[in-house]
Amino acid sequence: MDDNNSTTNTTQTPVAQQPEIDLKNPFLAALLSFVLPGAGHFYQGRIGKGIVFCVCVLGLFIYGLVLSSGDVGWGRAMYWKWTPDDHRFYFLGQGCIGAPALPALIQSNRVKNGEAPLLHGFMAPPISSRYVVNNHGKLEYANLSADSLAEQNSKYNFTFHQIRKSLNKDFELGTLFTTIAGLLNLLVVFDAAGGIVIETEDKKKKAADKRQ
Amino acid sequence: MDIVYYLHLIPLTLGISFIYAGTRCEDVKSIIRQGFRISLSIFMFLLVSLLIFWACFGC
Repeated sequence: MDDNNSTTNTTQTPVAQQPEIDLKNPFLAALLSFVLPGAGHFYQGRIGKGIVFCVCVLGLFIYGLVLSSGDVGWGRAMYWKWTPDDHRFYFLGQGCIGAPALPALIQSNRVKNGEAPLLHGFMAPPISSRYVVNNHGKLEYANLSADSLAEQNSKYNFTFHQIRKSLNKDFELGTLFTTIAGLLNLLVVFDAAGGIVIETEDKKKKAADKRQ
Repeated sequence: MDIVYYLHLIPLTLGISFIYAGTRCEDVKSIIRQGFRISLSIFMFLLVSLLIFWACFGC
């Protein structure tokens, strides 16, 4: 009887004693973490963990940007574009990094309005070989060759194929790194909102039963 | 050589492992220890896979 009681008691307690965490306002912490990786943890006073998350997520993100930089501009794997010829689904993951993704939106808006991208084409979207900026500053269907279009635009306006050809595999790697960094930031957001994952004896037992 | 591109797996694996470890521990020392442990497991898995492929296909 005593043995049974003792086992039922232990099933309710965590395996390792975890410290009490004051999550303060979890929604605000999650929002801060979404805006800047680790910011929610700083707000909660979990400084060490915030630094680890900030370094890891931003490190992966910057690594991806550096990989996708070259003669065609900086961080070309990270951009936002939604036109009939280019649906950049990767940005849905990349954008989860929060504020660091903002330059991509600014550059996208500039290129869309026919303005030259800033900062060596940093996060600027590629131009379409089928559209050209007319005299009124609007995009219109042109069907020009990629080379002639690049010549008549800014130094850092390149088509997707030109960027892909110049960066080769680094373009894919840059896309992979920035997308994974963005998606990992979602884990950081959940951690800021809900605290750490605690495995209880109950869960362990259920998992062991399932395996058997 | 193309094989050099596989070295990019190192920072990727470390980053993923540390953040995963961060969701399970609160203490920074534990996060670092667990992060390295998880990375090592992934690297060992990749190494064994590579050896199996090499043994089977000789590439």
